[in-house]
Amino acid sequence: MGDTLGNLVHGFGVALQPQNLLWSFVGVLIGNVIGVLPGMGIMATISILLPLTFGMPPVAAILMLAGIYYGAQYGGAICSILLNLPCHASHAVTCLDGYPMTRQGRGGVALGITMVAAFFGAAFGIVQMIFFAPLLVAVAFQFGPAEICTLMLLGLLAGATLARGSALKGIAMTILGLVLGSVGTDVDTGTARFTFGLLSMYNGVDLVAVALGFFGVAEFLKSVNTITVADMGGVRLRIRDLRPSRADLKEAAFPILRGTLIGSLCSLIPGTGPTIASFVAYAAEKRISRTPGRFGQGALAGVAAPEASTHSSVQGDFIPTMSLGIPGDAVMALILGALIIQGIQPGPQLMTEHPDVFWGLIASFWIGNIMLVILNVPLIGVWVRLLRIPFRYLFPFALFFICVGVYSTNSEMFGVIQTLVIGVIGYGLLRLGFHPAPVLLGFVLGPRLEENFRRALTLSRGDVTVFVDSPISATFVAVAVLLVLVQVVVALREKRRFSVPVAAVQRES
Amino acid sequence: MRLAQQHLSGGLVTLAGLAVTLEARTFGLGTMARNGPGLYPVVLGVALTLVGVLIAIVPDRDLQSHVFGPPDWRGWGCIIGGMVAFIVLGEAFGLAPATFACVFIAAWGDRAATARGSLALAGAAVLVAAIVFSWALKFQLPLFQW
Repeated sequence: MGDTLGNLVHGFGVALQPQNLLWSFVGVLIGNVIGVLPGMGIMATISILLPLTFGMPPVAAILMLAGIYYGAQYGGAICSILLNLPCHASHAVTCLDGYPMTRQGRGGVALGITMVAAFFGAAFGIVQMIFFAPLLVAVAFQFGPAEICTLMLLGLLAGATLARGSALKGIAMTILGLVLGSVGTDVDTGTARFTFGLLSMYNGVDLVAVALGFFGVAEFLKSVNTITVADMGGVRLRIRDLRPSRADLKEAAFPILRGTLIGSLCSLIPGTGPTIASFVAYAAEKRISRTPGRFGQGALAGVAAPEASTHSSVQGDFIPTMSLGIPGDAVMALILGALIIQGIQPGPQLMTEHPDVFWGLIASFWIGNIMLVILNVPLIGVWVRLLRIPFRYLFPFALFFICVGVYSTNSEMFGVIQTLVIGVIGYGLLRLGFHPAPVLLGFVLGPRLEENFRRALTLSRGDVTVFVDSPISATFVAVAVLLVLVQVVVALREKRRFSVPVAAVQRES
Repeated sequence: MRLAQQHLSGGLVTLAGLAVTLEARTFGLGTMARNGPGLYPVVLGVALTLVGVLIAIVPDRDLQSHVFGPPDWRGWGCIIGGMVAFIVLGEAFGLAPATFACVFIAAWGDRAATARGSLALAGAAVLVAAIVFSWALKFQLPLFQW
């Protein structure tokens, strides 16, 4: 306990260094702006800025990239509440009650409560990380290559099947990511794999190219000409409108608490990030409400609970990433990739070997969240004006940033070509119902998975049972099998239920 | 349409899986105790093939959730064209012409685009390229080159 306190003090010492403070401020500010702008993605933003952080010290780089992620969550709610546009998936559910509140002239209150909920949820998530991450690390130190390998498999499987879309397609995308991760020179033998004789491919496929292809180019191909600027009508917001009344706060208190708890639980299960957390929180709130009919008509609880849930889950998301080195979703995979590029090996040893990064990040969460609350109150008028910028001005500029960003990673045009090819393929996959998030998980984890897979087999002299020998790794395998079985059972049930309409559709087409 | 999409998805994944497997076999499999560079990719390739077959035969309950509009050739063409322009012009003439062409072409992808708006946007992008990237960040690609 005293230890934790000492570490936290150390963390604040790191985070309060002028340079680090500046970069985390830059991060949350950029994140906040991106969150407000309709049609701009967090993934694309982080990947565009990733090359810029190569020259920065690791702590500053991570603080800034993380700041973009949680800063964007503050902005995303504004878009949902004022415009009824689900700009970011994790705030889509907030539209349901947030926009009706705006139409009733209570948009300011909705935003005010969102800020309260956001800060409370985030604070809880950070506390959870402070206490939970060291515990996880203590367990993870017992892991050998076989355990690491099976744990990664479990994480990948959960990431593929629990996230949005069809489970099978999720698995296919994960494997695709693993294959992409294996491109380049094999570390053990020096054999070139999947390079097609291209010299630029010997270092493997670029993380920035993969991320910007799938989440930048593919995303623009999807949203061009589909995002229209909503009519803001007479929405006018003054700072004093943001202040919720005492009755509002009382009404929102328990929804915020429940949302926070749901979010923190969701963050611990890989693959269920903030988006799922917000939907679960909304559904739970509606179910236990005495007046479920008010939901969708501007119920305050319908804004407070999912927002608290999103924020606590966003902060909690960092726990498995920073303690085990296993990211739960695509954004975390990108942050993990940034760590690796900075020469920091992710895993349980990160906390002891790089206390600056770990505790500095936690301290910067506190500072960043406080900055965001302070920032959002006076700037709300600016955000409202930003909402009016049409997408047609944004995406050409963003495309230019993508080209420049990828070019700068290796200072060669080949990266831009890679991004374009990945983007076009990614959009094709998107149209066929494949979601891109698992690709990035597989891509980032792939090299470590292979390394531990080979090491485990070498240690056991080729005996495959090594993966189920120890109780820990046998448990991971058992949970993975269970996960697949549950999916199969659910699929079989749904099939029975849907068999009639499917047959009808087939006749029609 | 529903069925065709499912079979197309499964078929493509299966093909990708087979291609990975065949290519990876040439890297050398090694033994179980001493894995060659090809073993892990072959495992991935086989797994991908199997998942592809499953996608093709198991009905997808998620299909209704993603609705795409009709093909938007103008939007796609301009976005891809913008990037191609950046690649070609960047190599040949430098950052400034590449930036201008990239933003100008991409801007025409939107149906509401106007000549003046696109020109202004492209001009602004060139300014950013010159001040932020070339001057402040010492971007490797020169503004102009022949």
